[in-house]
Amino acid sequence: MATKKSYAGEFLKGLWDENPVLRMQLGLCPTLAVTNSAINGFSMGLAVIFTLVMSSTIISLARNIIPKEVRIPTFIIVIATFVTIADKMLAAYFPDISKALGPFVPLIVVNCIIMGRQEAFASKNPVGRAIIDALGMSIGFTITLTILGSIRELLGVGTIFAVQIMPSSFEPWMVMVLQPGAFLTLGLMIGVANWINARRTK
Amino acid sequence: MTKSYRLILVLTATAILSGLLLSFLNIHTLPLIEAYQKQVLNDALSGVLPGSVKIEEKIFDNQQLYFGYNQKQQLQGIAFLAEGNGFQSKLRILVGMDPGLSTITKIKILEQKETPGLGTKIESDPSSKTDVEWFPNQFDKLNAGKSLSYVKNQKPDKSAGEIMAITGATISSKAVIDIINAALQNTRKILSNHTDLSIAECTDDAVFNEEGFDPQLLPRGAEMIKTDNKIFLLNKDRQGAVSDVSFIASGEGFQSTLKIVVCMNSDFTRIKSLEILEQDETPGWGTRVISDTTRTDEQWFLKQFQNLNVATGTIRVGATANRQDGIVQTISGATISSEAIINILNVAIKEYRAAYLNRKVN
Repeated sequence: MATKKSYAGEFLKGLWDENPVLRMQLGLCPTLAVTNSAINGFSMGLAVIFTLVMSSTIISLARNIIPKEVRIPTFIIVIATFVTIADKMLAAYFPDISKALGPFVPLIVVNCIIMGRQEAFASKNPVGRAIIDALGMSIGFTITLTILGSIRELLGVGTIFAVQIMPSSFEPWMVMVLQPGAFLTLGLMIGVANWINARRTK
Repeated sequence: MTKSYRLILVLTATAILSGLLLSFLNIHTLPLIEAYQKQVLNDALSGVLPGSVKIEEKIFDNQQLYFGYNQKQQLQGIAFLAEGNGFQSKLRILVGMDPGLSTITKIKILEQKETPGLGTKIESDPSSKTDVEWFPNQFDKLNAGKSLSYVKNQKPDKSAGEIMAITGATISSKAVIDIINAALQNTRKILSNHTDLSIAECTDDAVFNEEGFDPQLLPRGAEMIKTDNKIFLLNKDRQGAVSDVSFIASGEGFQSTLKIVVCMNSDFTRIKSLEILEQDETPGWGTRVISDTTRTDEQWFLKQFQNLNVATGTIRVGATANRQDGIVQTISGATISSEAIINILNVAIKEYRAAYLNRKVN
C-alpha cells in the first residue's frame, strides 16, 4: 500500500487500470467459457459481483481476527459459502440462466479474481474501501464479459441480448460462439486494451 | 500453544457459520428447485403423452417409465427417459410412445450441451426458416417397430423408422437415435417381464377406425381374430389367457347410425365397458347418451353398463338400474336413443357371443 487512493480511484482502477480480465488476465476460464452470448456473460458478471462484494465485506470485517496461518482456508470457506448461495439462488429463481451457466457458477470458487482481491486487498483494508474495490473489480469484470459476449453473439448468431441486429442476409460466423471464437475475441480485446494503454503512456 | 488454539477456533467457527447459513438456504431453495424440475418434467410428459390426463411414474431396474391414462383410466401411452452420451455432452431424452411401443408419439430433448450452432440443432435450429424444431419433430408418429435409423441427402421413410440426420452434426443425430433405440429395447424387456403393466384393460377405442380397426395400432398383448365374418380383439393376461374381448356393435339410433365398441369378459357374461365410436343423434337430447349436461356425472348413462351382468341374455330397461340383474335406466328426453343402444347391444352380444364361443380354436 504505497499510495492511498481516493474512493473514486479505488473504484475506477477495477474498470480499466487494473481490469481483472484485460489488464491482469485473471479469471480467464469462466471468461472464455460462458461468453457465447451477451446474457450469459452478463449473468456470470452479476454472480461474481455478488460473490466478490459479500466475500470482501466479510473478510475485511474479520481481517483482524483471522490468523495469518489459516487465512487462505478461511477465505476459501467464505468464498465457497457465497458461491453456493449464488448458485442455489440462481437455480431456484432463475433456472434458465442457471442452466445456461452450467458448472461455471460453482467454479467461481476458484476464480482467481475473488481469491486475489481477498489476499491483496480486503484482508488489508477497512470495510468501506474493500467494498468499493470489490465493486470496481467485479463491475469491470462484468462489463468486459458483457462486451466479449456481445461481440461473439453478434458475429456468431447475429443478435445481442437475443435482439436481432444483423440483417437477415448475414451468414452467422459459427466459430465465434464456439471455443475458438472466445480465444480470438479475447485476444483481440486484450490487444486493443494494450494498444490504448501504450498510446496513453507515451 | 494459545496460537494453535486460535487457529483451530477461527477455522471451526467459520466452517460452522458457513454450514448453518447454507443449510438454512437449502431449506428455502430446495422446494423451489424441485418444483421447477418437476414442472419441467411434467410439461415434457404432457407434451409427449398427448391425451393423457393422469400420468403415473414407475421405476424398474433404473428405468423410469411413465404411464399416461385418459379420463376413463385407459392406457394412452408410455413414456420413458433415454439417457446416454452425445457428441460432447450427456443427452437426456423423454420419449412418448403408444401403449404397444410400436410408434413414437413425440420426443423431447430434456438436456443437452452439444456444440452450439451444430449439435444443438437436435433440440432447436434457429437457422431453419420453417420449423426450428424440425429435428425432434421428425420423431412424431415415427414407426419404431424396427430399430430407428438415419439417412442423409434423401427423403427419410417414416414407416421404416428413418429420420434425416443434421448436416454437420451427424454424430449428435446418431447419438439421439442410438440412445432411443437402447432405451426402447430396455423398456420392451422390462414390459415383457411385467406383462400385467403393458396390457390395457379393454382395448382402447383409438384402435378402431371407420373400417373397423387399425391393425397398426394393435396394443401390446392384444390379438385380432376373425370368425364368421366378425372381428374380435382379444386382450391377454400374463398367462396368455384371454382377459377381455372387444368388438364393434352397430345399428340405427333415433336419427343416425350408432357404432359402439363393446368390451366384455371372455365368457360374454359381463360388459366391462362401452365406448360410443360414432353417433349423430339430436344435439342436446340424443347426444346425452355420451354426455348428459343435465347431470353432474355427464357420462352416467354409459357408466351403467360397466360391469353389467348380461348372463341372462338381455339388457332390460327399468326404473332403477341394477347391475346384477342387467337393468339400466333410459335418459329422459332421449328415450329412443337410449333404447336403441340397448337393442343394438342385445342383438350384437347374442350374435358375437355365438360366433366367439363357436369359433374354431387352432
